[in-house]
Amino acid sequence: MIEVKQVGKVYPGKVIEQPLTDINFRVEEGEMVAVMGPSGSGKSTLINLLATLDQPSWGTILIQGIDTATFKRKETTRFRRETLGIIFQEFNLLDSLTVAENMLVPLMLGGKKTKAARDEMHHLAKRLQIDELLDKQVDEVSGGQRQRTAIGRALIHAPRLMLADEPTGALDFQATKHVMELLAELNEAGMTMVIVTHDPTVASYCNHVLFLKDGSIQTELFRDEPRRVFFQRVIESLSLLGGDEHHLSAIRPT
Amino acid sequence: MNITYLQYALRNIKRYQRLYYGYALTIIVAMTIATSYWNLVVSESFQNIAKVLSQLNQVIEMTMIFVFIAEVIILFFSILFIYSTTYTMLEHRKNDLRIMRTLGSGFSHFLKYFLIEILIVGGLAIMAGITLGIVLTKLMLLSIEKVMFLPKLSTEISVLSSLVLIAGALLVLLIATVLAIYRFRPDRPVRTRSRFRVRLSLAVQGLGILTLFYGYYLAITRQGNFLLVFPLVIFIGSFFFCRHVIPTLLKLYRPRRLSLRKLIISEIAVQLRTNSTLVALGTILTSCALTAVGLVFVFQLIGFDVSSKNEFGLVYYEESTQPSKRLGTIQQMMTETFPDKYQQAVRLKSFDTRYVLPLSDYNQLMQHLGYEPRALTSGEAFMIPARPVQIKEVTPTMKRAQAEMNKAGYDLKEASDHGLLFGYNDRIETLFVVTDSDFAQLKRPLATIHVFDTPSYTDYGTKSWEDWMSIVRNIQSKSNMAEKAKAPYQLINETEDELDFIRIVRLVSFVVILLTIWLFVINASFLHVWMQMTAEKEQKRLKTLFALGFSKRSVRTFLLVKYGAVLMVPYLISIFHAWLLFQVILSESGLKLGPYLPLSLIWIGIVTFFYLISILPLWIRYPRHLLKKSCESSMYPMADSRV
Repeated sequence: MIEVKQVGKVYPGKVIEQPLTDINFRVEEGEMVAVMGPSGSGKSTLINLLATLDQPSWGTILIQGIDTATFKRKETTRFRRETLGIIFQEFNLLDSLTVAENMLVPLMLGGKKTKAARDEMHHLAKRLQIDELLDKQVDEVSGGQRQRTAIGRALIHAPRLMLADEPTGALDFQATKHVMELLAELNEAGMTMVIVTHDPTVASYCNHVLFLKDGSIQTELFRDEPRRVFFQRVIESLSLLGGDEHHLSAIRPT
Repeated sequence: MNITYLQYALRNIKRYQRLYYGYALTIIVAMTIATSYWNLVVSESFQNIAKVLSQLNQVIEMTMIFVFIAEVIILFFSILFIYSTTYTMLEHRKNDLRIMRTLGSGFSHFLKYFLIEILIVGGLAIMAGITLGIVLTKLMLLSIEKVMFLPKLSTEISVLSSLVLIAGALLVLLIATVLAIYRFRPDRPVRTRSRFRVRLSLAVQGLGILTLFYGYYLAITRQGNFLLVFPLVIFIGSFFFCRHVIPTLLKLYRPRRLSLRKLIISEIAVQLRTNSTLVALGTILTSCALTAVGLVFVFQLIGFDVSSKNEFGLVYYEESTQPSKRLGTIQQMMTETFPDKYQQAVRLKSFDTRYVLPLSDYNQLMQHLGYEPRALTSGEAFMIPARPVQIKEVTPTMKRAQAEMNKAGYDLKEASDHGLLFGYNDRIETLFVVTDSDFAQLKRPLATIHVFDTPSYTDYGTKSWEDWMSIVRNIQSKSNMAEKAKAPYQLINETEDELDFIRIVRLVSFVVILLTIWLFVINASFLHVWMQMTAEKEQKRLKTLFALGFSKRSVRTFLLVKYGAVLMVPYLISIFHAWLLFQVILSESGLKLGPYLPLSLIWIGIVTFFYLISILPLWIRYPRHLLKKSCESSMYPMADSRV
């Protein structure tokens, strides 16, 4: 599904920052990948590159076998509109719209206004347990509900690839668990996912974890054991990396 | 339940209504003024009256030039305002745009929903503006009637001219919006500036500063060329002072202990530096307003002593040997209404646009007006002015005509110097007086002009003036006008310049005052939009100040002083520039500044008063609004780059 080859990214400016040096990895169709690493390790840059919101300074990113650098502007837009779903830590909902309308925005952009689409929205809202909030403005609902709305918005057009940048960063423990179970369920249904996270609990839901530090991949883990055991391995890898103390102390066993 | 582009646009209008208030208000005012000017330009009754009272042609030409300049100013500032407001608005909504982008909104989608918003708000504002503009036109024509001593003017508002206006306004709206969108380029990644561009901009800046100082040199030495550099001086001067000079000076203040004062001063420096585009815009607007009002004053004070002692009359021109039926009607009307007023026929013969008249007819008319008669012998001729410009200078047309008269064997005597303008129209370019016998020998078709003495401006408001105006109306009525070619009616007038000057001053003051009002409105609304935009950031800053232990009172002082400086400093710069222009104009008119000093101070006082009124809501209410509102955190998905 995704193939990242020798990718680097430099932000121009007075102080030259290099968030990514040389990154290589593959994400198979139907995989659920977590990207972990301390602040400033280049996680968000990586997500921006995968979402074609930014272009790598060097190297190639192949998505479904196509080099994203060869995308024309319209193709990039269509790719984001049709193939991609993105979830943010800060939800990034449009304040002027209601919950339901927020979920329908990708359909508006895609030019789909069928009744089937609306039914799909209701179905999705039920599944996300926000079907009673549909007519509320987004600032009237709680953080967890907002994140579920954002997930609903990312799912409404049934994307094949889901990118999530700290999807549970602003959520409490219960909400995190709920969101992750939902994502895992979607993954089982065949959706490929890349999740950037600080949280080993979130990583333990995934079947492939990348550890990023100072702009390069330090280590990779593949899961072939129960989640609880995998969680321990994630923590071990974090501490082996020297990770950062902050993460270890913040770990909550589930 | 569904969401369409229209719904999304409507929601956004609702959400950003505070931003759109100022936007709509400015468009309404611009449209109102533009419509009234436009209606004036296309008003048929206004134009017709100009044809009848041909001396008015000059006044109307002058007026139309000023109206035209006013329209250009409105157009320019409308584009500038819409452009900068749209850009500011886009900056404010950057977050939403980024979200939409990540959801797959391309540039075309973005254009779709943003243009719908702009068209809804702009369209409504344009409609409102046109409606108000029609009302203003009525008021304007009413007052023009009074100030220009004209008969009743009717307003004909044609659908076509309204459509032209609407189309023009929409075009301006779209151009400005698309320009702003293009500069903002929400779907393009950031690029670094190339070394060439950096150097180019440095060179341009250097050139700008040189121009600025050259402008100041011209102003100090009171050279007329300053008028040409003035627009540049305003632009560059505002930028230069706000962005560089004042912040650098403020940085020099380094107290030993950190205090509120130091904080305020460094904030002012930062604000002036970062908001210099806005600040310069405000400065330019107020400068223009100030200058405009200043100009009115200059005009007024030069025109104060002008008194009206005009001969005022009707000259009927006709190219036929037999008097027409229409001339008969006019003669009858004039004789019946004004039995004791003077009438005379003057014979003319033409060589294309060169006309000659017999000495006896000329002398008869001159004697009536109280001039000495002139004498000629056979073969001699002299020139009399046929157009206003010919009173002041010898034009190429005059030289050509004189050469032709010489070629025809005439000995040209000294031209008349009485400043009498012998009723001019499109056809008559030059006029010569020859002896009666020479005139009789010319084998050319005979034309006649018939001169009628009529009531003058001193009779304004009396019955004879009313009667005269009813005759004018009768002559100008469309059924009569349609009968024959263009403008057969002319005026003869002894001292037309002076009275025209009163009319010009009054009309131009009128135009300029409206323009000034608009400039103040536009300035206030732009500041409003800007403050709305910076509110969120400002609230965060206040939160920090409170957290650091500042009292509410000191924070209030902080805000008042800071915004006072940010609003007043550019204004003071603009006063400075307007003052430079004012004194250059005065010395250009050959006047000394001394006697006009109190007057100019009154002028500055009045304008400052209105400026203060226009910014007061922002200055006082905005800090209060900031203090009252709780701090809201913003959520930027990708803070590091404009991706």
